[in-house]
Amino acid sequence: MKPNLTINNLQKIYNNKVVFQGLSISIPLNRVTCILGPSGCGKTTLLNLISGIEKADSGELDDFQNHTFSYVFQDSRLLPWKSIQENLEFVLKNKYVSSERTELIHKYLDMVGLGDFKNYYPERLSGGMRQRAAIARAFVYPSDILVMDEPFKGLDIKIKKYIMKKFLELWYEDQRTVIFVTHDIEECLMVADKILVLSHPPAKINYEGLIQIPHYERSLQDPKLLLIENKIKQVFFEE
Amino acid sequence: MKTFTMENKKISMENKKISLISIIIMILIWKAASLWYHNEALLPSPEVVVLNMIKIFRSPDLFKVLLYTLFRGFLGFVLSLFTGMLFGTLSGLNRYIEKALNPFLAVIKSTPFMSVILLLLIWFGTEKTPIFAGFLVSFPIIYTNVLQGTKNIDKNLIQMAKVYGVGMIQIIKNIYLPSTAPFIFAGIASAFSIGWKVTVGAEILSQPKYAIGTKMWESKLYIEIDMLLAWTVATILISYMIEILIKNIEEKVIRWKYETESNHK
Repeated sequence: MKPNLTINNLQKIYNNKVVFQGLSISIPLNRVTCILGPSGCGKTTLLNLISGIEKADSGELDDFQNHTFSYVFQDSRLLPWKSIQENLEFVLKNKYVSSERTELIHKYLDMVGLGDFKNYYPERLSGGMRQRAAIARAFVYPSDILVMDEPFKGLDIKIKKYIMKKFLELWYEDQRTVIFVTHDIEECLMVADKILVLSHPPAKINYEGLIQIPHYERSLQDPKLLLIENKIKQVFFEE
Repeated sequence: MKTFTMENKKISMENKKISLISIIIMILIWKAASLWYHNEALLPSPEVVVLNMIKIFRSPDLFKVLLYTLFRGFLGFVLSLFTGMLFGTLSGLNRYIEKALNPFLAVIKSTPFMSVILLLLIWFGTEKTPIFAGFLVSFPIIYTNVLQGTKNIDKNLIQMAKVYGVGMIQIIKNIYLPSTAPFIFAGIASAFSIGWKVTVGAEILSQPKYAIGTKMWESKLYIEIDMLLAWTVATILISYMIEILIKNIEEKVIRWKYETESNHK
């Protein structure tokens, strides 16, 4: 098995706007890859192309074709007429037998601190709790690749830190391949193993870097992380 | 979850009290009007109507009369439910079908109802006219509601389900149907109530052998206003009971909506 998933020469035009023109990137397997970039640079489009929601005009995305995906969207996308537990069951119907499914769901809901809320309808939970439920749904689903599109957007700083901690706890359970889109540099420095910074459209890679420090030893004051942060900011500033 | 159910029960008890008070006020106004008019033959008092209703209950063909009218009402309603759901869903999913059906809907909605009944009488005879009349008046209501419901489906939820590899049957069962259910039930409640009235109205004109409408016509013919009012009250009571039944089914089917709504109150 190849250590990386690759995209070659990707082309995508949206309403006469060239979003990607010959973009090539490499995503390491079983690592968290963070894609940063300014608003409107095509980050969500890239995730949609990777997960098969949209089709590319041309380019090679073969490495992604035979993989299964779970997706944490910007909004939680929970079914309002189903309880949190039923929402997780909905995506697992054909994956596990009933008893195994319930056990797994309870395990993941407990891990994101929603064990006591499993019978609640999404409407009755806060935005942060709904997003945690969406993250639990993404992890409980046995996918090869987890795609996350600004999953912490709009959450207050305390809740964001808590959910990021829960995310890392869950990730260490199976260390699946994660592609994480954000425009928050700090978020990226705390969770990424690899960072890709995209430019304005047509997007090209402005910066590519690896972070070797284990997640639990990271601090934003760490000189190595500060160096990466400065480089990213420099790239953003030059744009 | 328990506290919300308790709260729902409290709200429902309050609603029942208000309904009861307004029914009492209605009967009092009726009684006052009959005392003022002072002519039992033209405006009988409520108690006389109740006595006549008891008389109706004792009449030997009551069961057949009720059964036939209910059957006609239900048949027209069920027909409109199935066709309304089918065409409403198709139109909601495809705007060309919606555009193609618009003229048909416009004709059905704007044709004077009496002329429709007269035409149906000529084409279908006395027995089938009330069924088709009920169907024609209920169909546009169900259709419009299902169309709105289908358009209202959150495409993002379908996209999410597809990414997670959920099959089309599960998507229809778990996303399409629950999304449209509140709209369908809103349509069912008003479609039944209007359809029922029109079915009885069509019976008055077409006069099938066993029908509430025929009984009303006979009462009018013999100037038995008390009997006419007794049949009218019976029609209202049946409609009211079925509306309560529909409401109960709705509350069970879309329980989530009632629970989340009570959360906002």
